[in-house]
Amino acid sequence: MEIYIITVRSVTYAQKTVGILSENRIKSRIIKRPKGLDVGGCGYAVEVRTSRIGEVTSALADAALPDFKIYKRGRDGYVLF
Amino acid sequence: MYYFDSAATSFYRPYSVRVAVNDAIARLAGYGRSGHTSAAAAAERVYLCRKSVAELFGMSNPERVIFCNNATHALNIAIRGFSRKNGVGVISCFEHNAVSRPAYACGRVAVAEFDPYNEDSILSSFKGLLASGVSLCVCTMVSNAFGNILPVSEIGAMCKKRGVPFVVDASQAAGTLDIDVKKLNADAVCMPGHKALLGPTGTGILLLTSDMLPAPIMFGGTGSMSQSRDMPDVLPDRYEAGTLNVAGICGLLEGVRFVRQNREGIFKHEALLCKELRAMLTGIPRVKLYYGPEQMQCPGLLSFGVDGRPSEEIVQALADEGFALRGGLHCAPLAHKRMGTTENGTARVSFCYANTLYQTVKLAEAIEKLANQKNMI
Repeated sequence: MEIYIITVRSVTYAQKTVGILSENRIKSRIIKRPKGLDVGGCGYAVEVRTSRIGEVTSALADAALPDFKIYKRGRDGYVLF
Repeated sequence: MYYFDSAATSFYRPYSVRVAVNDAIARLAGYGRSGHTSAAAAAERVYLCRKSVAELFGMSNPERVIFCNNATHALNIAIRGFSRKNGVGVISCFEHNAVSRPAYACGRVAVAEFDPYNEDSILSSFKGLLASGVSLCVCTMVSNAFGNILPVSEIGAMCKKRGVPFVVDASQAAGTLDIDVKKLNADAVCMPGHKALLGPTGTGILLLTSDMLPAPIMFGGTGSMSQSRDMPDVLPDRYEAGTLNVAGICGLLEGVRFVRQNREGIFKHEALLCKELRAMLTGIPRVKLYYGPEQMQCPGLLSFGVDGRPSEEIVQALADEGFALRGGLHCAPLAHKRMGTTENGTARVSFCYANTLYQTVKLAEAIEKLANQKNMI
């Protein structure tokens, strides 16, 4: 199972992301956006521990979630997925 | 006390509203700033409320539900945010001061005058004013003073055709009438949380229903994009500077849930009580009722006067008998001017889901007794 971070533009979109993933039976949680992934200061992100990242991407795209990015956590930090 | 002032503020709120507010004060932190458990729980409740409000009004994007302090706050964002320098604001002759005051503060205002019970008269009045140079049009969905319903969808269609931003004040309609914002042709719809949505005071809602967005009028922290000097361009953050009223919104969530489960029943119940009251008061000498045809009248509200007496005296006398009503101009001087009731105002009965027929009969008896007295005070 891998750890992914989905960055979104506000806490509202973070909630929306969790809701979309939950509807697709994918567990996730809201976290403060990790340093290095920030765009212009504070923000929120959604952490997903999954081996079904393809389903995550599809679910968010289908829901037309705007301006999100998915990062994969590796040994050396986060890599844009 | 029998409470008939729900058009001002709901009083008989569902128990779940009180529990939610208490729980929020005991357990929840602020919204949208921190990431710990209490803040996350607050964010979740706030989002659930956005979602529930969006669903009640036929919207698919909860982020377009902006939380405000009250309807006045929401109307100020919409009116001041859409107004242009040297532009003219068109408003109806039934607007509350929450509309007319910000509109006048922004510059020139043209007031649409019409017969409130004649749709052709209403539409032709707006049509005549929606000329070039108009920067904004605002119309109430239901008059807070007289309960007459205005054809906002049709007015919105005229505005849309002319590219004029259209703002609807749904303060008296939200929670009572069936509202699908997609059918209103509006760009912004404003409402309080503390009236028929049964939430606590200090809650209001602005629905942004089109791609035409007002300029923000308040600036400050949002917990997002902190390095930017400007307000974020993302909704709802763009219009929600400062910490939200989390406890109030948690209460509002429960109020909205109650309304979603019971709206049709509430409508029928209020319509029945209002009809009964009208029937009981009709024919009583010296009592004058103000209402129009059923299809143009919101069922939860009835204005009346007694033989030219000041409405404040009427409601005071009724208060002494244990009935809570509102008298005066109801912050709607334009409406009273149009109806010829400026001098004495009107006494207003407004119902909610919890009023009973027994209370209504008692109120009618008290009004009749009052009307038969030569000197009330």
